[in-house]
Amino acid sequence: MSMTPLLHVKDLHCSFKVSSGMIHPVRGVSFDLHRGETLALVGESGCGKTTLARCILGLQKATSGSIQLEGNEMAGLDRMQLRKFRPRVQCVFQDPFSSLNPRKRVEVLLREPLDVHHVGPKEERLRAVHEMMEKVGLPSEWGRRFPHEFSGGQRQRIGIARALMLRPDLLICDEPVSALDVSVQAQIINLLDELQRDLGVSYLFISHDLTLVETFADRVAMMFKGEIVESGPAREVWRNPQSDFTRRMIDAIPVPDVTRAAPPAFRPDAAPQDKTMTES
Amino acid sequence: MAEANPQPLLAVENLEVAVAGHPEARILRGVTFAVNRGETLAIVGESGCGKSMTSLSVMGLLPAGVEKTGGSLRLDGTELPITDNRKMRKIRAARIGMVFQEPMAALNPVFPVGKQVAEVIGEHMSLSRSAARARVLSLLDQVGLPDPERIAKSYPHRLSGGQLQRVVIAMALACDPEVIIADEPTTALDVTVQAQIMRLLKQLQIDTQVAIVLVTHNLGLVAHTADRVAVMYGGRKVEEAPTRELFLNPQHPYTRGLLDATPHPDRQRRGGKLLNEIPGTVPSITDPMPGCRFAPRCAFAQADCQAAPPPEEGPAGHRVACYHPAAWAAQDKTEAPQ
Ligand SMILES: Nc1ncnc2c1ncn2[C@@H]1O[C@H](COP(=O)(O)OP(=O)(O)OP(=O)(O)O)[C@@H](O)[C@H]1O
Ligand SMILES: Nc1ncnc2c1ncn2[C@@H]1O[C@H](COP(=O)(O)OP(=O)(O)OP(=O)(O)O)[C@@H](O)[C@H]1O
Ligand code: SF4
Ligand SMILES: [Mg+2]
Ligand SMILES: [Mg+2]
Repeated sequence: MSMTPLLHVKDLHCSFKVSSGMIHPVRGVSFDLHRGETLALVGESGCGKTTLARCILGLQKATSGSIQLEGNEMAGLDRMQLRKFRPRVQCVFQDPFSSLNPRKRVEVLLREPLDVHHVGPKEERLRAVHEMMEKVGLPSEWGRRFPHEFSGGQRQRIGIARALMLRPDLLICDEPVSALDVSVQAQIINLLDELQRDLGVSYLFISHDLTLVETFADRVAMMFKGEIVESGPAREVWRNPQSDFTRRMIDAIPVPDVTRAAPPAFRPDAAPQDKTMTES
Repeated sequence: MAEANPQPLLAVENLEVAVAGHPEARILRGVTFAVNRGETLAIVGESGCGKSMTSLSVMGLLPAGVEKTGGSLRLDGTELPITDNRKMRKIRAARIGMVFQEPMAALNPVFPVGKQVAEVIGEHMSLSRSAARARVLSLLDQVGLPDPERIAKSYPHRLSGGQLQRVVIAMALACDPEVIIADEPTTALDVTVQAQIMRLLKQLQIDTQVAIVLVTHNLGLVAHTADRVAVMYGGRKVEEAPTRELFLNPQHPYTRGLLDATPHPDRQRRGGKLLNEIPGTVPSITDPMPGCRFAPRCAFAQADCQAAPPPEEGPAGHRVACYHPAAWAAQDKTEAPQ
């Protein structure tokens, strides 16, 4: 067993120029992710989670810092150099609507990664596509359809299937199941769990569902204003939150139990809380 | 409740939607529900069961390729002119606000978002440019967006998922609607902002008696914000009850499956699986099927379930479309040792 983590992120920064000046969504983030491990990234809306994911994927240039995949530096590589790593790091995007080409049949969308990276013999690729569709709970006959003929949650599953086609080592999931009903969500989470146990895939799992994170992730990293403010096994973090920010999040979880009172944050009559923590 | 008020604000009756030109390829198979002023109705159901189609029908915004084939949609007793685009535009701008499931689909990528919110306001009331601008900023502030000035000037691709979702919520609120149809309004939001949005909607409901249709997969949200819940499966409503009743006394096997599949803080890995699934996959919604559409996945299915779709039955407060409601109760009894 090697001690080199699958993904090592060190002091990563990322900033954007906007009309009113600079904004700085990622401010010195460091973490390790090991093989077969799930790290959940939780944080307020707009705190920089997607930007961080885009940096790791090479879709966004980091301003400074280091991103290593099994000890190989990826930060600063250009598109061509990154291609080598591409099949090993895949992503399920937050917005399935904008990430699927509307003019391509789903079958083609799912086969594309195999074609691009010349995986397996041509004749077998379509079969692999159909198998994957069934795995994520979509009948394989639907492969002939176009993305707009699917519901939001069905499109999300297409995105998941597409990301899994290349059997990546690292899958970055940006809210992969938030558009799904809980029974399909259970199906997908169980599938991810099974793949992890069979193939040792690692997940960087961005989610707003703290209860799901507790069930699914080995560790959670709480991100606040572009920084990771605390981390550890979810259960421990929830039980003994160190930051005000985490405590406020936990207090706002709506537990699906009608015998419990709604969290005060939901009630207009309860003492108004101070405004959302300001985003960077 | 529903019948105490003879005229609900929004009434959907036997709504049928099918693939355009193929009436046999049915997507909605007779959906009925009503919402009163000041009330919140949650619609939950499997992914692909027709929740968004139902909302879009009411808005007169069904996507190309599908069409309404039957039923009635009434706002305050008057049939909605859903085929008259000009009239519907007015209604959308003044009376029904919608939060779309996929914010990017509702926004135009080439205009700053503030301009797009202002446009909705412009359709609804004539305000001076500076008054409209002030209203945009105050709406963006109300939905919890920090730095409304920057957000208003930003193009959609420069905003985070949760920021976009709040922009779309601001657009829905812009017209002081009588009805808000919110399709997954908080999926991209962190729990604190989600709470803030729900608090804002509740306050608005207290102030203006707005009726809210909340389409969501988040049963925690349902438990704490809805007055009533309608459960859909395969293009039909399979159960409807007051929220508390539905959670504590579900009658339909699908409803029970949903409640069981929900991650719960006190629940741990059982056997090999992390979460409880409902076994089987959903057939294509347009596939004809003579009996109950849940039958292939239902642990309580019997021969009579396959013949005809189960009709909706039960007291007005708690309707269920199932031949063997709460069949597990009987099963649990026979299985329990004497
Ligand atoms: N291309 C860009 N140009 C300018 N600003 C950007 C760009 N992309 C993102 N931002 C800004 O960076 C900040 C972080 O955005 P990011 O998408 O990383 O947030 P997030 O944590 O994923 O939030 P959410 O949970 O809402 O998806 C936001 O304030 C956003 O407006
Ligand atoms: N043009 C089309 N041809 C055939 N079927 C279609 C077409 N457009 C949509 N559908 C089907 O209609 C069904 C209803 O979709 P809808 O978007 O209403 O689902 P939903 O309940 O909102 O699901 P989700 O929770 O995933 O958003 C889906 O099963 C979809 O596959
Ligand atoms: S009608 Fe029959 S198959 Fe359908 S849900 Fe009820 S018991 Fe199950
Ligand atoms: Mg994001
Ligand atoms: Mg939908």
